[in-house]
Amino acid sequence: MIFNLLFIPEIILSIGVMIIIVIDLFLQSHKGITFKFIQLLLLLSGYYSINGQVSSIYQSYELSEFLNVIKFILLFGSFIIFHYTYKHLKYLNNLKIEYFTISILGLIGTMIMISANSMLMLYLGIELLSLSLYALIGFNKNSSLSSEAAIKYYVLGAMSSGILLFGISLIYGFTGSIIYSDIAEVINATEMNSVEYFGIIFGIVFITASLCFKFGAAPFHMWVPDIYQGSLVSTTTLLSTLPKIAVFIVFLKLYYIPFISMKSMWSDILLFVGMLSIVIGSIFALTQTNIKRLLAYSAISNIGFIILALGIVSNEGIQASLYYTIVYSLTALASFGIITHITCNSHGIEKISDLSGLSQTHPYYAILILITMLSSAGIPPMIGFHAKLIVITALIDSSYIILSVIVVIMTVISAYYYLKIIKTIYFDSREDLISVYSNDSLILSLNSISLLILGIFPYYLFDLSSYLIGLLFAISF
Amino acid sequence: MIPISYYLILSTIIFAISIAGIFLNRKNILVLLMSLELMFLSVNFNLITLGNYLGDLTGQVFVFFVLTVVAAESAIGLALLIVLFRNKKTIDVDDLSELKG
Repeated sequence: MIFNLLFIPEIILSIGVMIIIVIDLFLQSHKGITFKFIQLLLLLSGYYSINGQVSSIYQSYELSEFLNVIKFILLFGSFIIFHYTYKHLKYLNNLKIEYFTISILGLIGTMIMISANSMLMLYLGIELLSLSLYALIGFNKNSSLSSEAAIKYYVLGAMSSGILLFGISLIYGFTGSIIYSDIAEVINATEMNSVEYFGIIFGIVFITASLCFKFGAAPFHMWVPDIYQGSLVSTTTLLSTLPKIAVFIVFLKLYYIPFISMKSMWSDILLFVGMLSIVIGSIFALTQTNIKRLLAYSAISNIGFIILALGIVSNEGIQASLYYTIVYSLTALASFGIITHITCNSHGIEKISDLSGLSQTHPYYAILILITMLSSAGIPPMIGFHAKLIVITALIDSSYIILSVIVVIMTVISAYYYLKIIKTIYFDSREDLISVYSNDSLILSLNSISLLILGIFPYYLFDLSSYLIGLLFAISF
Repeated sequence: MIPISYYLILSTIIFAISIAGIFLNRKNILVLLMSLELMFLSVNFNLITLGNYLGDLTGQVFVFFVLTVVAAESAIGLALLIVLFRNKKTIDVDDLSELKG
């Protein structure tokens, strides 16, 4: 009886997916009704996750207040993504309910990942997410770009899963357990420079490489622009929010619970990866002409900020990284959401120059893009400024002065390409068939304008993230 | 009695071969998929060896999970390969170069 009350959000989603498949069989011509049912399912699951219980199952699956809030954020994010996706697919005449069922399976994967308290559950969650993403990226099956992106992501993703497993097997072999808390105890008791110590280091390095790949951080970032460009914009929206939040929580739980005794080792790795991501994301984006590739590099540099903040190993750093993750997800949702709404010559937006003249034809959408891009660039009244500010403050507090100077320089460089998009919208004019296919832009407007409102009152979100971190860690570093 | 280090070295060598197979292969995607399978098998070998050495069932149970997940994964991989072949009429690695910028 206790057992079956525990993971209600996950159970609702898993059973709901099967029901949706059956409903879709009978309501082939009324996909709107099925979609309403999907939205209802997400809301129901979100309601139960925010009122969820606090417990754990055989030490391997954890339900805590912190994770309940994160699950609510994931469900809320996918609610918005599905809203954009539905319109986009309907516009493309490619509306299939399977897209949503596969996305929900990926969502369950992210929920398992963040709740995992053992390496086995972590692996299963990551695989459930990755398998869904392979299918979603290849969803546009008549396009050779989409199938090429899917096969690329498949090969690299499966390889990174293999690397993760190899790391897990090493950790298991040298600590004798796959439960996080047991691993933490064993690592704490391990002597420096013993055989076990080196084995564990190897394991951590393998796991870090694999997670950085899933995150899209710098030395493993090759796939990000290709996959963002090849897949549908709606898939890109999904790909740039849900997996990033989930992998961030996995980073937080893995490094700050089982591997915390090794912090002198992994903090350098994370700082390096974060720094490299920021530099590569800012510099390589300068030459891009495709807007999806540009946003992909922008995602890489944002991921760099998150990893950099995690690598600081201080309370401020963790709070900053959680804050940055939430802000980044909001910004990515808004920027990709706008792109799903706009078409040029009855195709989706591909080149940056496709956006030229938007301010004359659709001034309202131009303002939404303006807010989003200024927020990404980190210009003060928007929330992106506060996110970057908090990360840099945390860096300076831990006396990483040189790193913070480089970060500031890179932020200035990256402002160039965000401003280039604004310049294209407001100052370039061209006779082009740019159009917005939907009049109903309430959620999109709320999403973009929240970047401005939250930027004017930044402390609500900051209090939320420090409260959440306080729930996760009672101790300080 | 063969010492455990031999098993670990063997599985590491298989793992290295599979990584090399992924990066050095310039011909055929099917070979890539085979390299991926080899990689998961080396991990399974590692898990079984270590589980047996520790006298712990966890490693062996883990292998069953890995086997099922990998079976699902390669099914999806082959499906994607068929879609790719339909669109491009080739499964050459070198021809996967449309996405560039």
